[in-house]
Amino acid sequence: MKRIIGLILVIAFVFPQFAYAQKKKDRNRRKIEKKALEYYETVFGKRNKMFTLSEIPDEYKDESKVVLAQQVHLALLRNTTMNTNSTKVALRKRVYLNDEAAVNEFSEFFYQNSDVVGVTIIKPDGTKETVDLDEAVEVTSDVPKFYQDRFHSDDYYKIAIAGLEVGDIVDYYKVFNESYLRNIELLIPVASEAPIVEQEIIFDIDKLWTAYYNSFNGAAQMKLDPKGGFDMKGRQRKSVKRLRFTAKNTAAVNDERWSFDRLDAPLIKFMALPPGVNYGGDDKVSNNLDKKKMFDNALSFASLYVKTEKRDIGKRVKALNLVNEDIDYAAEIIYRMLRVNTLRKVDGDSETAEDFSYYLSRNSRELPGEIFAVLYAELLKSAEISSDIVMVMPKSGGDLSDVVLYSEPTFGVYIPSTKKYYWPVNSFSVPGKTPSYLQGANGFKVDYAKISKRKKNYAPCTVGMSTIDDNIYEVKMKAIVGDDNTLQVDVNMLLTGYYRNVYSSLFLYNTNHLKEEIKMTRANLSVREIKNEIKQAKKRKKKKKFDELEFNFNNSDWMEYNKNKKELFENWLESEYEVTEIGDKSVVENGMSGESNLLHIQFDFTSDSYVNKAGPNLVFDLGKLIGDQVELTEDEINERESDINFHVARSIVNTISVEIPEGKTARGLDQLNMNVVNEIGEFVSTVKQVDNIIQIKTIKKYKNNSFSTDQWSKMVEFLEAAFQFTEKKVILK
Amino acid sequence: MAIKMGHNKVLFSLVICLCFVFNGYSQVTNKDKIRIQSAEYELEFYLNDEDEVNAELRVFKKYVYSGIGEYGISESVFFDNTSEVKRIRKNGKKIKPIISDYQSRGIFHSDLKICYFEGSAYEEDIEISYTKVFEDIKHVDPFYFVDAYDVRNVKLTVFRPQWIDLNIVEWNFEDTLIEKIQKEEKDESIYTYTATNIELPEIENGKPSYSSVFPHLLFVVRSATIRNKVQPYMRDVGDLYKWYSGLVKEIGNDNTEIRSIVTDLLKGKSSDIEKIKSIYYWVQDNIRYVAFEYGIMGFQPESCQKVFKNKYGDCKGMANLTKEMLEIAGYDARLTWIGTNSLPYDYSIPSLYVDNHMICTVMLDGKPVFLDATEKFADMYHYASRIQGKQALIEDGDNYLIERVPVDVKANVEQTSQELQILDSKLVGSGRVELLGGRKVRLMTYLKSMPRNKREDYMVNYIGNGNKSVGVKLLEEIDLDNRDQSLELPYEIIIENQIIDLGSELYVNTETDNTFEGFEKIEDRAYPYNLREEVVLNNHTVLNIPTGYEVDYLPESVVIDNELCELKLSYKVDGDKINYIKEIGIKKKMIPVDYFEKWNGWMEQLKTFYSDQIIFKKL
Repeated sequence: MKRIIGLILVIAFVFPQFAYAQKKKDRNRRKIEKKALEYYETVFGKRNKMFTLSEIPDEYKDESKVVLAQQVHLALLRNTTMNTNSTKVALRKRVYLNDEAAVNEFSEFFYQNSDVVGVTIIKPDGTKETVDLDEAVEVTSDVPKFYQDRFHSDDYYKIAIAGLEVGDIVDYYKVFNESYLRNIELLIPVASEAPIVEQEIIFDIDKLWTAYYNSFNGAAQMKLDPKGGFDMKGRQRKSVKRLRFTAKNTAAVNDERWSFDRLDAPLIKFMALPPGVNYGGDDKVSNNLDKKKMFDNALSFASLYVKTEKRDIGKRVKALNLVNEDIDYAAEIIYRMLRVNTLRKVDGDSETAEDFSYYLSRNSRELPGEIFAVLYAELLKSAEISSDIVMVMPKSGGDLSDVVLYSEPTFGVYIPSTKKYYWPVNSFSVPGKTPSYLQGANGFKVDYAKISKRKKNYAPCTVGMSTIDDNIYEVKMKAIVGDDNTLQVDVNMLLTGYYRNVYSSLFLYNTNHLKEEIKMTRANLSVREIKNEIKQAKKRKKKKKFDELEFNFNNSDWMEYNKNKKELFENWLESEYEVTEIGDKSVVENGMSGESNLLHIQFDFTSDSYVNKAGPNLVFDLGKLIGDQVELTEDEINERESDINFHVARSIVNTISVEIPEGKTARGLDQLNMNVVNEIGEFVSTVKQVDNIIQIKTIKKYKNNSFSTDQWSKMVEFLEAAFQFTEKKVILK
Repeated sequence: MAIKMGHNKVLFSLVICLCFVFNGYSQVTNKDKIRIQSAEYELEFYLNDEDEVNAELRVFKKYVYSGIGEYGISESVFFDNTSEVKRIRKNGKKIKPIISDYQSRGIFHSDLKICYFEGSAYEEDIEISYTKVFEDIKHVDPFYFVDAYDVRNVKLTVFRPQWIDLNIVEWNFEDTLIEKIQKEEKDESIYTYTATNIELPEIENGKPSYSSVFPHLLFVVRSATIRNKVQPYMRDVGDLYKWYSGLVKEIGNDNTEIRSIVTDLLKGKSSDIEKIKSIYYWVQDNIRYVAFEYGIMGFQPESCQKVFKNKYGDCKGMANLTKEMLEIAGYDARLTWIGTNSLPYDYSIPSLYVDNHMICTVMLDGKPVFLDATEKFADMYHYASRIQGKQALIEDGDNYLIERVPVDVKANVEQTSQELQILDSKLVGSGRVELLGGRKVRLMTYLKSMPRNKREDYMVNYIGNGNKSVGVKLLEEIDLDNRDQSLELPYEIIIENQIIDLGSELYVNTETDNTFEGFEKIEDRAYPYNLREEVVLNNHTVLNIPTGYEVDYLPESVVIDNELCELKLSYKVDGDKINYIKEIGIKKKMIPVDYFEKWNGWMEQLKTFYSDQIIFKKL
């Protein structure tokens, strides 16, 4: 079943402030351990029934390991003396080792620096052996995923556990403290790679904290315990709110392709806000986060940042005098200025090549969404363009009502007069185009002019979806079979929408698109130069001319960056086709501007793998010319459990002509004519020979972006057809 | 400043190959823009205050950076509790290095540390100097002329006082331009080695061990005359053995707790072989290999009782436990030192760098049988290819024996036999795969290490060679309990997309493994290619000629047989069947440089053969 996001806790904005060395058994250390142990016994009790189970249920007898019991206790504490927002976590796990693989895994036991850690081995006859952790050694690499816990210290230790055998139980616990400067966000999968027989997660929330929570995808809802929880000193207090999650017999989960974790995996979302921050009204502990309040809070935070950020760029926008320009044009220029400004800032600060590469290769947002939105809306305002600020939940996260964590929604800008959305700038984003992950997202929008008003209208909105015709991966290929059976291949790739976005970072490793953008936004000129130039242009009524770029794209940093990107492109090409020698590659259209936003790439290569001798004739791996296709495993075909989710509907088109030697006839072409069409998608191919040209046309379509599990078999039909196509060979006689 | 550790050091396990001049820790991305203009080393032997022979290596390096922008240059020096690194300077100024633990996959814990320091190469040349002191001259590192960056000029000067008998072993010096000058002074001999333009090739595939290809020096102090008294060190392998056996005497074995398990294991066993196997296999199955390399434990085995209690140990601990258990059973068992084939030396060089592994030898009918309990699932007479042909230094009381581990290149075998017929444009039939020797050991070890419920899928994929067009169904459960037999698995198979039906003709290809097909051409390479193992891969497929058809064409046979490999592939008609025989044997795992062109040609021949087709013509 479903995919799980992390080990147990994924956290944002974590700033651990103190940790203790594990091995120094000085007095202070022993005191900490003693205290932590007392705390552990207080929160979990000395005799914990959950941790008495020693047998694995029959249904899990084939599993490698089984978590018999798991308990997590997270206390959000109030520490008035230290003026910090601290948390205390106690965790215990009891794992049954059911085969040699599990024994191997636990024979080298890893753990993190904590106040106290204890490991006990329970033999099948009930004998208990405590592992002496004094022999543990520090480790900085190769920590197995199962042991990784991003919630606290990065200092790991490992110990070789003596005499571990199949049938043994490893029962371990730890207690640790952390302090945080900002909000704590947890995404807790309640299922893991091993089945969990019984588990409990407890949050004790002291009264100055505010907490929001919810359960998703079949995970049981957390319940408030009327008895309350423990305070700083381990005393039970009603004023400390206690949330409790319990579950029994949670099956193991597997990764599945095309699934969105947040829509499929049973999980708990939990966000805690330190004293002074509240999004949700009067309830200090609530499963109903006030999204509007969260929106306001995010924007007021962003406004602080934008005040300084807009100084320089604001002057440049003003100097460009965009007030009387067409709104689309002005909005585009300002949007592009935001991208170039980021680059300019990096360049101006003499950062390293890695920073350039990082910036350019990232396909994710550079500025946090809320900062982008406020800054962009503010700049639009200076060009007298009215806009709304938008907050939506990306489709992969569900609905806006599913938002629990501050980091979940995305912010953008909507210009009502043109009805266009603008989303956070990244290396390859296009102004006025919605990236596929936000298409179909719902949320609300607020008029920026009224943003600071107490009473404002949060108008619901849904971002439009693209159609299958907007997201096309088209390959036009011309190939010639040479006398020595070498295939000379010329390819034109034309990518739109989703595919343009996905492949831009792979193909646009030259800097021409940036140069264009720099010219367009006059980023190479000072504010004074821009003003002068516009003045001159008005006088002469001529088309504007610009100086040579000041950005140095020929330095070694860029060369290094381009070299690395070129290698990535070549690796991709070799994974897609049977390549012997790579020829030239050029960008015909970069897809970053214009109406169609078409990314058009040309490249060529030769191959000696497609055509080979077959007795007196030739055997031609013709099917492989359509490139690599999805190869489903038997397990994938037969055991789909979660719904199928893509971001958008899309299609892949191949138009191929192969010139074969005069006088040769391709035999066996019929097997390549396929026609699998259903309501989910299709794979249709036509292959024929006209004179000495083999003509191939294939179309693969994913007709929608979301399908239910019971439609999986339909999807398998056309995916398998496409794969089978690639396996077909013909004979040239 | 000095960084100092306690006493003695480590180098005894399956994996380790480090030396002080080799910067294996570069973090620089544009390495090709950094060059070492000059690297000068001075190695000097001297007496310390306690009349012990010490050595120190003084290092002076000048880095030149030809790129633009700021980049770090890293220089790392390894040290442990027998050595220290001091007087670290950058451009003449003292600098504080970063000290971190050496961590490596396969080694649970090592006391080897890395002293790491960086230079910033922005518009200036960097000069780095430091001194490494060896407090135990057995541990003076080998000297390699290659470095982490290309080096323009390398110069090593060795100062040998007359009171020291030093053997400088030159390794891989053939066909190099390394110059050596020896100068005799009154109190010392001075050896100067110089080399220019030394490049470290970036080898990705088929990487041979550094010691087997790169020129380097080993320093073996035979003896020293101190205050007119000759102090022997490593005059020959006898001295080496003496030091090793001294450590063995101090293990402190107490086999009291082990006796009962040995008694249990021997119950019902009558022959020597049965008894030895029961003990050897028990250690394989019950003691996990965990490598430790710290302090003297890098050389001295853990006591048998500790390994028995812990149920884990390194190669030495496992060998020692095996020996003790066999002795309890009444056998003549001995600890044995050996260098795996990543080390090119033998015991004519009495150095700690000659071996890196320990096994147990049991003398049976006066002949040695080598038992390496780290080789899970190895049967009694199977020797891992990594020790085949290598000298073994075997305990013999105050004396020692040197025996060579037998070579059996045909012990590492995978053979497949299958019978196929054509049905609905598919090849359908059954077969059997059999693995022996190292091939079996590796696969069984891997299968055992994976969750039980994943093993069948893995084997199905293994037999089908990961090819989605090959459907495999296992007919028996995988038996991982009997290592005395080959690992055999019968299966049913359906192969799609290997037949092109043209009506009057059928084009058929029975080859689905395409062994070596993905092997890339070996080009622009100055070092041998390491294929990792000698192996025999055989396939015999019988294809029934479909009714109503006759054979029109069979691919031309390939027959290549030489000292490196045997590649024989052929199709032959035998009545109403076609026999497809594929015999691939790698006789030597290292492809020498002068064979590259031939090897590439042979791979081309294989590729052509694999893609060719059987043609059946309709009657």
